[in-house]
Amino acid sequence: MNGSEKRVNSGAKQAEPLGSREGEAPWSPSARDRLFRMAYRLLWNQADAEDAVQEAMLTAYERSTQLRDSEKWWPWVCKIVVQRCRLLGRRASLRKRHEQAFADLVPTHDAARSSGSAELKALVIELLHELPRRQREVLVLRHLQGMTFEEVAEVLELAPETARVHAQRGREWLLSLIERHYPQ
Amino acid sequence: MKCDNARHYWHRHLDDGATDAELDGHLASCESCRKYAANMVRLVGLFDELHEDTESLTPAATPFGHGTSRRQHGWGIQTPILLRIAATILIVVGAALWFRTPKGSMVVSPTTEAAAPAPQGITLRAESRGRFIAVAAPSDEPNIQTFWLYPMVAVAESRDRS
Repeated sequence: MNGSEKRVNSGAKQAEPLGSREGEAPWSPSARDRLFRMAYRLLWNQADAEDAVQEAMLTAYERSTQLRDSEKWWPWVCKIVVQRCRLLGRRASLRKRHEQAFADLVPTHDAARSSGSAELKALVIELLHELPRRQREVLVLRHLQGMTFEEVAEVLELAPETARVHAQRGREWLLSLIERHYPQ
Repeated sequence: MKCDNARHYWHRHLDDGATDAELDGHLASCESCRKYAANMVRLVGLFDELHEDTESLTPAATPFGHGTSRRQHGWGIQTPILLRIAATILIVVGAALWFRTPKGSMVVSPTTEAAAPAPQGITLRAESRGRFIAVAAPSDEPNIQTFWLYPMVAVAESRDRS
Protein backbone atom coordinates (compact mmCIF):
# COMPACT_ATOMS: atom_id res chain seq x y z
CA MET A 1 0.00 0.00 0.00
CA ASN A 2 1.18 3.43 -0.75
CA GLY A 3 0.60 5.43 2.38
CA SER A 4 0.40 8.78 0.68
CA GLU A 5 -2.40 7.61 -1.61
CA LYS A 6 -4.50 6.53 1.33
CA ARG A 7 -4.11 9.68 3.29
CA VAL A 8 -7.14 11.61 4.27
CA ASN A 9 -7.72 14.84 5.99
CA SER A 10 -10.89 14.10 7.87
CA GLY A 11 -12.55 16.76 9.91
CA ALA A 12 -10.83 19.77 8.45
CA LYS A 13 -12.69 19.59 5.14
CA GLN A 14 -16.08 19.27 6.79
CA ALA A 15 -15.44 21.26 9.91
CA GLU A 16 -18.50 23.00 11.26
CA PRO A 17 -17.34 26.40 12.50
CA LEU A 18 -17.58 26.66 16.23
CA GLY A 19 -18.40 30.33 16.33
CA SER A 20 -21.80 31.59 15.45
CA ARG A 21 -22.40 31.63 11.76
CA GLU A 22 -22.91 34.88 10.02
CA GLY A 23 -26.47 36.00 10.54
CA GLU A 24 -27.18 33.24 13.02
CA ALA A 25 -28.64 34.54 16.24
CA PRO A 26 -27.44 32.87 19.42
CA TRP A 27 -30.91 31.62 20.36
CA SER A 28 -32.00 30.73 16.86
CA PRO A 29 -33.47 27.34 15.87
CA SER A 30 -30.40 26.58 13.77
CA ALA A 31 -28.16 27.07 16.79
CA ARG A 32 -30.45 24.83 18.78
CA ASP A 33 -30.25 22.17 16.05
CA ARG A 34 -26.47 22.27 16.05
CA LEU A 35 -26.46 21.85 19.81
CA PHE A 36 -28.91 19.00 19.49
CA ARG A 37 -26.65 17.23 17.02
CA MET A 38 -23.74 17.65 19.38
CA ALA A 39 -25.74 16.26 22.29
CA TYR A 40 -26.99 13.38 20.18
CA ARG A 41 -23.50 12.45 19.10
CA LEU A 42 -22.42 12.41 22.71
CA LEU A 43 -25.42 10.48 24.03
CA TRP A 44 -26.82 8.59 21.01
CA ASN A 45 -30.31 8.94 22.33
CA GLN A 46 -32.87 11.37 21.00
CA ALA A 47 -34.80 12.00 24.20
CA ASP A 48 -31.66 12.49 26.25
CA ALA A 49 -30.21 14.81 23.64
CA GLU A 50 -33.37 16.90 23.60
CA ASP A 51 -33.35 17.07 27.38
CA ALA A 52 -29.70 18.04 27.45
CA VAL A 53 -30.17 20.86 24.97
CA GLN A 54 -33.32 22.11 26.62
CA GLU A 55 -31.73 22.19 30.05
CA ALA A 56 -28.55 23.72 28.67
CA MET A 57 -30.42 26.48 26.84
CA LEU A 58 -32.39 27.24 29.97
CA THR A 59 -29.22 27.36 32.04
CA ALA A 60 -27.52 29.54 29.45
CA TYR A 61 -30.47 31.93 29.39
CA GLU A 62 -30.52 32.20 33.17
CA ARG A 63 -26.79 32.82 33.31
CA SER A 64 -26.53 34.93 30.19
CA THR A 65 -25.77 38.02 32.23
CA GLN A 66 -22.60 36.35 33.44
CA LEU A 67 -21.23 36.13 29.90
CA ARG A 68 -19.14 39.21 29.38
CA ASP A 69 -17.90 38.55 25.85
CA SER A 70 -20.79 37.85 23.48
CA GLU A 71 -18.32 36.43 20.95
CA LYS A 72 -17.79 33.56 23.35
CA TRP A 73 -21.45 32.66 23.44
CA TRP A 74 -21.18 29.58 21.27
CA PRO A 75 -18.27 27.82 23.02
CA TRP A 76 -19.85 28.79 26.32
CA VAL A 77 -23.17 27.18 25.51
CA CYS A 78 -21.38 24.18 23.97
CA LYS A 79 -19.61 23.75 27.27
CA ILE A 80 -22.94 23.75 29.11
CA VAL A 81 -24.35 21.16 26.71
CA VAL A 82 -21.34 18.91 27.23
CA GLN A 83 -21.74 19.20 31.00
CA ARG A 84 -25.42 18.30 30.73
CA CYS A 85 -24.56 15.34 28.55
CA ARG A 86 -22.12 14.11 31.16
CA LEU A 87 -24.82 14.23 33.81
CA LEU A 88 -27.36 12.47 31.63
CA GLY A 89 -24.80 9.94 30.50
CA ARG A 90 -24.04 9.00 34.05
CA ARG A 91 -27.65 8.91 35.04
CA ALA A 92 -28.99 6.73 32.29
CA SER A 93 -28.27 3.24 31.18
CA LEU A 94 -27.19 4.52 27.84
CA ARG A 95 -25.93 1.44 26.15
CA LYS A 96 -29.28 -0.23 25.92
CA ARG A 97 -30.98 2.88 24.64
CA HIS A 98 -28.41 3.94 22.09
CA GLU A 99 -28.53 0.46 20.60
CA GLN A 100 -32.24 0.92 20.11
CA ALA A 101 -31.74 4.39 18.72
CA PHE A 102 -29.20 3.21 16.21
CA ALA A 103 -31.34 0.25 15.25
CA ASP A 104 -33.90 2.82 14.17
CA LEU A 105 -31.27 4.78 12.29
CA VAL A 106 -29.84 2.00 10.21
CA PRO A 107 -32.85 1.24 8.00
CA THR A 108 -33.00 4.86 6.89
CA HIS A 109 -29.57 4.73 5.33
CA ASP A 110 -29.60 2.25 2.50
CA ALA A 111 -26.23 3.33 1.19
CA ALA A 112 -24.54 2.57 4.47
CA ARG A 113 -26.32 -0.74 4.76
CA SER A 114 -25.43 -1.81 1.24
CA SER A 115 -21.79 -0.93 1.80
CA GLY A 116 -21.69 -3.21 4.80
CA SER A 117 -20.48 -0.47 7.10
CA ALA A 118 -23.66 -0.19 9.17
CA GLU A 119 -22.56 -2.99 11.45
CA LEU A 120 -19.19 -1.36 11.95
CA LYS A 121 -20.76 2.01 12.63
CA ALA A 122 -23.04 0.49 15.25
CA LEU A 123 -19.99 -1.12 16.78
CA VAL A 124 -18.12 2.17 16.82
CA ILE A 125 -21.02 3.85 18.61
CA GLU A 126 -21.15 1.09 21.16
CA LEU A 127 -17.42 1.06 21.73
CA LEU A 128 -17.24 4.82 22.05
CA HIS A 129 -18.84 4.36 25.45
CA GLU A 130 -16.03 2.03 26.45
CA LEU A 131 -13.53 4.84 26.11
CA PRO A 132 -12.52 7.15 28.93
CA ARG A 133 -14.77 10.19 29.04
CA ARG A 134 -12.20 12.72 27.86
CA GLN A 135 -11.14 10.61 24.91
CA ARG A 136 -14.73 9.96 23.89
CA GLU A 137 -15.65 13.64 24.08
CA VAL A 138 -12.62 14.70 22.09
CA LEU A 139 -13.30 12.14 19.38
CA VAL A 140 -16.95 13.07 19.14
CA LEU A 141 -16.36 16.80 19.02
CA ARG A 142 -13.46 16.49 16.63
CA HIS A 143 -14.64 13.84 14.20
CA LEU A 144 -18.42 13.82 14.51
CA GLN A 145 -19.07 17.45 15.34
CA GLY A 146 -16.25 18.63 13.10
CA MET A 147 -14.56 21.04 15.47
CA THR A 148 -10.93 21.97 15.29
CA PHE A 149 -8.68 20.97 18.15
CA GLU A 150 -8.55 24.56 19.34
CA GLU A 151 -12.34 24.61 19.54
CA VAL A 152 -12.47 21.22 21.22
CA ALA A 153 -9.92 22.40 23.75
CA GLU A 154 -11.96 25.51 24.49
CA VAL A 155 -15.17 23.59 25.04
CA LEU A 156 -13.57 20.89 27.18
CA GLU A 157 -11.25 23.32 28.93
CA LEU A 158 -8.10 21.55 27.81
CA ALA A 159 -4.90 22.60 26.14
CA PRO A 160 -5.08 21.97 22.37
CA GLU A 161 -2.10 19.65 22.55
CA THR A 162 -3.80 17.68 25.30
CA ALA A 163 -6.85 17.34 23.10
CA ARG A 164 -4.65 15.97 20.32
CA VAL A 165 -3.16 13.41 22.67
CA HIS A 166 -6.61 12.36 23.83
CA ALA A 167 -7.69 11.98 20.22
CA GLN A 168 -4.70 9.85 19.33
CA ARG A 169 -5.11 7.59 22.35
CA GLY A 170 -8.83 7.36 21.83
CA ARG A 171 -8.43 6.31 18.21
CA GLU A 172 -5.83 3.73 19.13
CA TRP A 173 -7.98 2.36 21.93
CA LEU A 174 -11.04 2.31 19.74
CA LEU A 175 -9.16 0.54 16.98
CA SER A 176 -7.93 -2.12 19.35
CA LEU A 177 -11.47 -2.65 20.64
CA ILE A 178 -12.83 -2.91 17.12
CA GLU A 179 -10.18 -5.44 16.13
CA ARG A 180 -11.08 -7.48 19.19
CA HIS A 181 -14.79 -7.49 18.38
CA TYR A 182 -14.53 -7.45 14.60
CA PRO A 183 -11.36 -9.25 13.52
CA GLN A 184 -11.93 -8.65 9.79
CA MET B 1 12.14 6.40 12.19
CA LYS B 2 10.71 4.13 14.84
CA CYS B 3 7.23 2.71 14.58
CA ASP B 4 5.98 4.71 17.56
CA ASN B 5 7.14 7.95 15.98
CA ALA B 6 5.71 6.96 12.63
CA ARG B 7 2.32 6.28 14.17
CA HIS B 8 2.41 9.58 16.05
CA TYR B 9 3.14 11.40 12.78
CA TRP B 10 0.37 9.47 11.10
CA HIS B 11 -2.09 10.82 13.63
CA ARG B 12 -0.76 14.31 12.98
CA HIS B 13 -1.39 13.69 9.32
CA LEU B 14 -4.93 12.53 10.03
CA ASP B 15 -5.63 15.59 12.15
CA ASP B 16 -3.88 18.34 10.23
CA GLY B 17 -2.87 16.85 6.91
CA ALA B 18 0.80 17.23 7.79
CA THR B 19 3.19 15.38 5.48
CA ASP B 20 6.57 13.92 6.21
CA ALA B 21 8.96 12.27 3.76
CA GLU B 22 10.49 10.19 6.49
CA LEU B 23 7.06 8.86 7.37
CA ASP B 24 6.49 7.83 3.76
CA GLY B 25 9.76 5.97 3.79
CA HIS B 26 8.87 4.16 6.98
CA LEU B 27 5.44 3.18 5.73
CA ALA B 28 6.98 1.82 2.56
CA SER B 29 9.22 -0.47 4.53
CA CYS B 30 7.09 -1.43 7.57
CA GLU B 31 4.22 -3.81 7.01
CA SER B 32 2.86 -3.38 10.55
CA CYS B 33 2.67 0.39 10.29
CA ARG B 34 1.05 0.20 6.87
CA LYS B 35 -1.68 -1.98 8.31
CA TYR B 36 -2.02 0.39 11.28
CA ALA B 37 -2.29 3.40 8.99
CA ALA B 38 -4.87 1.68 6.79
CA ASN B 39 -7.00 0.74 9.80
CA MET B 40 -6.81 4.27 11.13
CA VAL B 41 -7.99 5.57 7.78
CA ARG B 42 -10.90 3.15 7.88
CA LEU B 43 -11.76 4.27 11.41
CA VAL B 44 -11.73 7.92 10.43
CA GLY B 45 -13.84 7.01 7.43
CA LEU B 46 -16.41 5.47 9.76
CA PHE B 47 -16.40 8.67 11.78
CA ASP B 48 -17.03 10.60 8.59
CA GLU B 49 -19.96 8.37 7.74
CA LEU B 50 -21.43 8.80 11.21
CA HIS B 51 -20.98 12.54 10.83
CA GLU B 52 -22.92 12.46 7.58
CA ASP B 53 -25.60 10.21 9.04
CA THR B 54 -26.31 12.61 11.88
CA GLU B 55 -25.72 15.90 10.14
CA SER B 56 -29.33 16.50 9.13
CA LEU B 57 -30.82 15.77 12.53
CA THR B 58 -33.11 18.20 14.27
CA PRO B 59 -34.93 17.85 17.58
CA ALA B 60 -38.33 17.92 15.91
CA ALA B 61 -37.70 15.35 13.22
CA THR B 62 -35.02 12.75 13.49
CA PRO B 63 -34.85 9.72 11.24
CA PHE B 64 -34.14 7.54 14.23
CA GLY B 65 -36.48 8.84 16.86
CA HIS B 66 -39.42 6.60 16.16
CA GLY B 67 -40.79 5.48 19.47
CA THR B 68 -37.67 6.29 21.39
CA SER B 69 -38.68 9.57 22.88
CA ARG B 70 -39.70 9.43 26.51
CA ARG B 71 -42.15 12.24 25.89
CA GLN B 72 -44.29 10.02 23.72
CA HIS B 73 -44.96 7.85 26.73
CA GLY B 74 -45.86 10.73 28.99
CA TRP B 75 -48.99 12.63 29.74
CA GLY B 76 -49.14 14.51 26.50
CA ILE B 77 -49.70 11.92 23.83
CA GLN B 78 -50.65 8.44 24.86
CA THR B 79 -52.75 9.04 27.97
CA PRO B 80 -56.26 7.59 27.39
CA ILE B 81 -58.86 10.18 26.71
CA LEU B 82 -61.24 8.78 29.38
CA LEU B 83 -58.53 9.14 31.99
CA ARG B 84 -58.01 12.75 30.99
CA ILE B 85 -61.75 13.45 31.22
CA ALA B 86 -61.99 11.78 34.63
CA ALA B 87 -59.05 13.76 35.91
CA THR B 88 -60.56 16.98 34.62
CA ILE B 89 -63.90 16.24 36.31
CA LEU B 90 -62.16 15.48 39.57
CA ILE B 91 -60.27 18.74 39.42
CA VAL B 92 -63.42 20.74 38.67
CA VAL B 93 -65.45 19.08 41.43
CA GLY B 94 -62.61 19.50 43.88
CA ALA B 95 -62.25 23.16 43.03
CA ALA B 96 -66.01 23.68 43.41
CA LEU B 97 -66.03 22.07 46.83
CA TRP B 98 -63.03 24.08 47.85
CA PHE B 99 -64.56 27.42 47.02
CA ARG B 100 -68.17 26.74 48.01
CA THR B 101 -67.46 25.51 51.51
CA PRO B 102 -68.32 28.31 53.95
CA LYS B 103 -65.62 30.11 55.74
CA GLY B 104 -65.52 30.06 59.49
CA SER B 105 -66.41 27.17 61.75
CA MET B 106 -69.59 25.28 62.24
CA VAL B 107 -70.58 22.02 63.74
CA VAL B 108 -71.78 19.32 61.42
CA SER B 109 -73.74 16.35 62.53
CA PRO B 110 -72.29 13.09 61.23
CA THR B 111 -75.68 11.43 60.92
CA THR B 112 -77.64 13.67 58.58
CA GLU B 113 -79.81 12.16 55.91
CA ALA B 114 -77.35 12.57 53.13
CA ALA B 115 -74.40 11.27 55.01
CA ALA B 116 -72.87 7.90 54.41
CA PRO B 117 -72.68 5.51 57.34
CA ALA B 118 -70.55 7.17 59.92
CA PRO B 119 -69.20 6.18 63.27
CA GLN B 120 -71.59 7.12 65.98
CA GLY B 121 -70.50 9.91 68.20
CA ILE B 122 -68.04 11.55 65.88
CA THR B 123 -68.53 15.24 65.55
CA LEU B 124 -66.95 17.02 62.65
CA ARG B 125 -66.21 20.67 62.41
CA ALA B 126 -65.91 22.27 59.02
CA GLU B 127 -63.21 24.83 58.94
CA SER B 128 -62.55 27.40 56.29
CA ARG B 129 -61.61 26.17 52.84
CA GLY B 130 -63.35 22.86 53.24
CA ARG B 131 -61.13 21.27 55.82
CA PHE B 132 -62.78 19.04 58.35
CA ILE B 133 -61.52 17.98 61.68
CA ALA B 134 -62.90 15.67 64.33
CA VAL B 135 -63.73 17.52 67.51
CA ALA B 136 -65.12 14.55 69.39
CA ALA B 137 -64.85 10.87 68.91
CA PRO B 138 -65.98 7.79 70.78
CA SER B 139 -62.53 6.39 70.82
CA ASP B 140 -59.03 7.77 70.86
CA GLU B 141 -58.51 7.11 67.17
CA PRO B 142 -61.38 8.21 64.94
CA ASN B 143 -61.64 6.60 61.56
CA ILE B 144 -59.81 9.08 59.38
CA GLN B 145 -61.14 7.58 56.16
CA THR B 146 -64.70 8.50 56.94
CA PHE B 147 -63.76 12.17 56.80
CA TRP B 148 -63.86 12.03 53.02
CA LEU B 149 -67.58 11.35 53.12
CA TYR B 150 -68.49 14.61 54.78
CA PRO B 151 -67.75 17.60 52.56
CA MET B 152 -71.03 17.25 50.68
CA VAL B 153 -72.90 17.19 53.96
CA ALA B 154 -71.16 20.31 55.08
CA VAL B 155 -72.10 22.10 51.90
CA ALA B 156 -75.72 20.97 52.26
CA GLU B 157 -75.97 22.17 55.82
CA SER B 158 -74.30 25.39 54.95
CA ARG B 159 -76.98 26.10 52.36
CA ASP B 160 -79.73 25.31 54.83
CA ARG B 161 -78.39 27.69 57.39
CA SER B 162 -77.90 30.47 54.92
